[in-house]
Amino acid sequence: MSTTTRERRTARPVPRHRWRTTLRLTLLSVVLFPICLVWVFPFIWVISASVKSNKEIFAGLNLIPEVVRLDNYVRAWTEANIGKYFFNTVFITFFSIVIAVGSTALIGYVLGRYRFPGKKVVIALFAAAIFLPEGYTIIPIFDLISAMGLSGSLWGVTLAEAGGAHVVTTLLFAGYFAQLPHELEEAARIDGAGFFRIFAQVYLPLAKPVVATAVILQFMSSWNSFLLPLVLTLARPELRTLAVGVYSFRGEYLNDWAGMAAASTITLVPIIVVFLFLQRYFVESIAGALKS
Amino acid sequence: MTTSTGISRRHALGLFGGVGAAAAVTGCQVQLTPDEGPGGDAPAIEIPDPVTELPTDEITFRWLDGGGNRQLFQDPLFKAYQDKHTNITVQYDATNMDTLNETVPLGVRNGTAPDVFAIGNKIPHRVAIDEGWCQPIEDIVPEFEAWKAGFPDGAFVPNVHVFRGKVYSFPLSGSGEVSETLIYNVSLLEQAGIDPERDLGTWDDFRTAAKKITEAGAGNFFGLMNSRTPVKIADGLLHTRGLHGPIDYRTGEYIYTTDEVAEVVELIQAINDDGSFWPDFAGISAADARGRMPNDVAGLQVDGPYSIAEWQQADFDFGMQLLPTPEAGGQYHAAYGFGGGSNVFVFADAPYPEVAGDLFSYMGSVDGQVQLILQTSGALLPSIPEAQERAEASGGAIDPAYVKVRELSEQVMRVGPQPVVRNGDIADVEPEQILPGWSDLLGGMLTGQVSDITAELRKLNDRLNTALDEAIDKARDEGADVSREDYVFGNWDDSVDYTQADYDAL
Amino acid sequence: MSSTRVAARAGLQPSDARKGWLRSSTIWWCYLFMVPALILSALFTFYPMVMSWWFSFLDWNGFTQRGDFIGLANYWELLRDQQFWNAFGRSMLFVLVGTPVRVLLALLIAILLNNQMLKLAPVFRTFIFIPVVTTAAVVGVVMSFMLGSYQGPVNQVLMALHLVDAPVKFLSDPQVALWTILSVHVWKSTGQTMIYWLAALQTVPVTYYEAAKVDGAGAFRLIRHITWPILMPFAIVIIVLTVQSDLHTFALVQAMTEGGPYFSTQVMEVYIYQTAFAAGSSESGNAGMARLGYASAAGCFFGLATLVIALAQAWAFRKVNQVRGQLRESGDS
Repeated sequence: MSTTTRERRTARPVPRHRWRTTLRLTLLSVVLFPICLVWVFPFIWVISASVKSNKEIFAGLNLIPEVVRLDNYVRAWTEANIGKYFFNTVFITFFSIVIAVGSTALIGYVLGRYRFPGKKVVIALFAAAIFLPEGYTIIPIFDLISAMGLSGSLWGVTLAEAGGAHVVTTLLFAGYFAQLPHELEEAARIDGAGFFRIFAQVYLPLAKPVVATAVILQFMSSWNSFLLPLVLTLARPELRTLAVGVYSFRGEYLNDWAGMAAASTITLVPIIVVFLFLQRYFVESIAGALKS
Repeated sequence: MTTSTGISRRHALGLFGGVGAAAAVTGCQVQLTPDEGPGGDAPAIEIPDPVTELPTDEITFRWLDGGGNRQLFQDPLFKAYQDKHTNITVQYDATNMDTLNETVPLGVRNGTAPDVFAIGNKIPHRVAIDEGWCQPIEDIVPEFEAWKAGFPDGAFVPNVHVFRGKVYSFPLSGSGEVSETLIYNVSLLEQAGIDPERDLGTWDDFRTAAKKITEAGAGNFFGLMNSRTPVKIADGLLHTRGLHGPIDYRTGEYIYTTDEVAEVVELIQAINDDGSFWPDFAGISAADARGRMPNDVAGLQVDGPYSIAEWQQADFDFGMQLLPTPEAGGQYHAAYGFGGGSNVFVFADAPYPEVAGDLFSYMGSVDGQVQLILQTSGALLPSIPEAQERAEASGGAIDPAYVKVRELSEQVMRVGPQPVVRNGDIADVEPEQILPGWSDLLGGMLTGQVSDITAELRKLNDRLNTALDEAIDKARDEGADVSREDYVFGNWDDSVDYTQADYDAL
Repeated sequence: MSSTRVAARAGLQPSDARKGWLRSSTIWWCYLFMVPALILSALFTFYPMVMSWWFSFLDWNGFTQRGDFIGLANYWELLRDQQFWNAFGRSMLFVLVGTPVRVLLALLIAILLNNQMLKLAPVFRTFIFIPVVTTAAVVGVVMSFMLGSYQGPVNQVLMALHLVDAPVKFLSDPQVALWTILSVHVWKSTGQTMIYWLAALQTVPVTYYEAAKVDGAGAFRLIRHITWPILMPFAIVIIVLTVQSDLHTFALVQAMTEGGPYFSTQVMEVYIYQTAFAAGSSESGNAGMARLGYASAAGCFFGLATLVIALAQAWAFRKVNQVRGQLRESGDS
């Protein structure tokens, strides 16, 4: 697909300003790079703190300590059980992504492409979900999961994380699907495909940018979630998540910032990796699919 | 689909690789094992054989409390326990008060609370007991009467350990740790030419010393450390003036309109005007302020002995002594009560109460108490005095810093009267929170946000009084037998412990 | 059946998808597709929301089983609570300044980084994104240190560049603290808004741009006539969500200042948290009781108030447009 696109692009007459564009882009990169470094400097500082001792952290500005305290990482991995919690968090995040992205893609598809009785009501409900005020909601969610018998299980936490009205992703899916051409569906019907197959095999694959976005959003939300996973796993502490592990370094009398920085870095790396990986889907657009 | 992102990803990976190589080349050392903590050479804990039937399946026993120095004892204790009972895994969680306050009620709510937990400091313990959160330990601890008799008289305090006539908790360590001491940085004081024994005796000396240290520091270090609120300094100085707040139990009135408070406020403001406070205080918490002391940022600090372990790890050369008194050679005391958020209780629906009983049995025995001292290098005081003598006799390493803390505690701390011990119904009196409170106002005074502190304190006093009166009325409406009189203890002498006899004599 | 073959068969430009098949089996499919999301919403958004309204009518500390129904008493008390209104004002300020900055900054970054030909774009996007996923508590500590006025790195840089003479008390000066918190918040959350914008920009077909460029349109015309109309519905939602996020900032503020110094950074969520759990600041030692019912009422009231304000603004906006339209008409005639 992309090869054909590129061929088509080069088949057109090369614009005169090609080298100027490249220059502009290079300049942009050169300007953006230091800005980005400054943007993430606190994060660089966290990594540096994660290999210092607690006293050194506030001592000065140097990034690389004399003694690289990798024992902070050992402490985080063993004492704070970050290793165990890593698996739990992966489980919960993965399945909450499946549930959340799946359910929003489904509803976004029909909201974006079809008219049916009750559609306005559903849209109003979603608007209400953003606009209506809410007070303290932890206890009701907690009660609900407990009543379903799911407290003390990874599925309970997964459901609590995945549940809720994901208005943004629904809207993104709806808007994106609405822009897709109708002819694809007609052609698929001619081929004898049913409603679900058209969704799953024709339109969903075209929505990769939105799927990638939805995955990232849910990933962010589930990966760093702290309070609900903590209270829902009181009975089975081995099921706790990474965020709980990171917060465990905050004691009443003293804070082990070095350990927390190490745990935090461990927590951060996967989500950055996933984000980098999913970026490729941001580049694609509708045109690429249609030009073949 | 691959090329443009591929190149950029390779670029990125190259960058990180480069940084790593640079670090290796500069020849940094790498340390893989943690620093030694206290109690490293304490003798091994020997868990006695259980008297009752313990579960034989693979089980996880859960314990949740506020941590702190208790961890120094409980971590090795639980490890030894697991070694002895290989089928039992002890899941010990020490967390901060806020998390405790949030999670324990929820755990009780759906039956998943840990076997043993601390109730926290935001709900009166009697209310929790009445709600059925916990079970009495009389039936769980084997040979309970004999075990209880091992503690000194009065160790089990009503409405702290004993509720409605039954015992729900026990005193793990002695109370009465000194709450405010004068901490100083040995080398900075030397640099400023201040002799801690000679130059920190009176309030005037204190202020002058802070100023001198600031001058010697020339912007690098300052006289007096502080955090968002100087409430510890204020409370400590009030003790030296003979006043213990927020209610003066001699009169039953809130203290914020008294002359003593005005004097203390004046002194603190004067120190601030001198410029002796560490300048960035309004941006950090008390725990962080203690954490910064090893970085030689200030010469003096008024706080409790909460960060000694941390300081020792950071090789901080510090000293502790009594607070300065208004006049030379003054003596003072501070009142304390039992309880607080740190007692542990057994969950009413605990899956394994027998294990709790077994553990409590050891922790409350003389052997256990001796280990308490040795494992913490003296950071914790025992609740059974005999254990102290035995620990010292055994030649166990007790950290001189904790010896000093104990000395100061013995000199200063005295048991004060508590309304809730006198009349259990006081637990039903729930005054609403008044904000801004005493510590908020003090902080605001220093940042200049509170312009007329005297007026604000008067307002605070009035609001507190009103809130208390309203709460008392409400409790009476619901059947509690309480009155403002419960807060008046006419026979209190703050230089001696207030005992049961004194309560009875009222 | 690959999507490419289908696409080849259909093989045309994007067309208007507003026509829908209204066969009854299609309608049933539509309902079926909505079921999972609707159930999840009902259980985890609407039920808790309604329950929190119920809590707001109770005098309850959140711990005990009982909670006495007291009707609107919590709300009357809120009206008189100076602390609540101060927090309200701060949150409003937060939004009025923070949201436009965040939305526009994120849009700018998204447009810049949406360029396929910029090789390092994914790396840059990741950099901007990193603060979003860093734990708030950790960020709080780091920034408190970096912005400290005593030998803090930021101040040292500022002084070295001779931009200031004395260290700026970013977090300890009550006048400055709120703006500092706001800036840190914007820095931390712009990455998220950027993702929303990027996703929205993906819906603009590249062919539109190419066609327009062939016609000789410059960058500005492109944005105004192509990008903006397609983005507008997204823009509305993104703005609403950013407002929501800014109004409900909590973890970062609690970690950096706990609402201090002297409440100068106590935004609404911090106020609610400190009321619900009588937390105060960590060493305030205020012997208050937790009041979950009151806190829930504060949350509901706040949400309601912001909703009313938003509706009032929308109504005012429409009125202004109407009047302007009338003026223009009368001007034309």
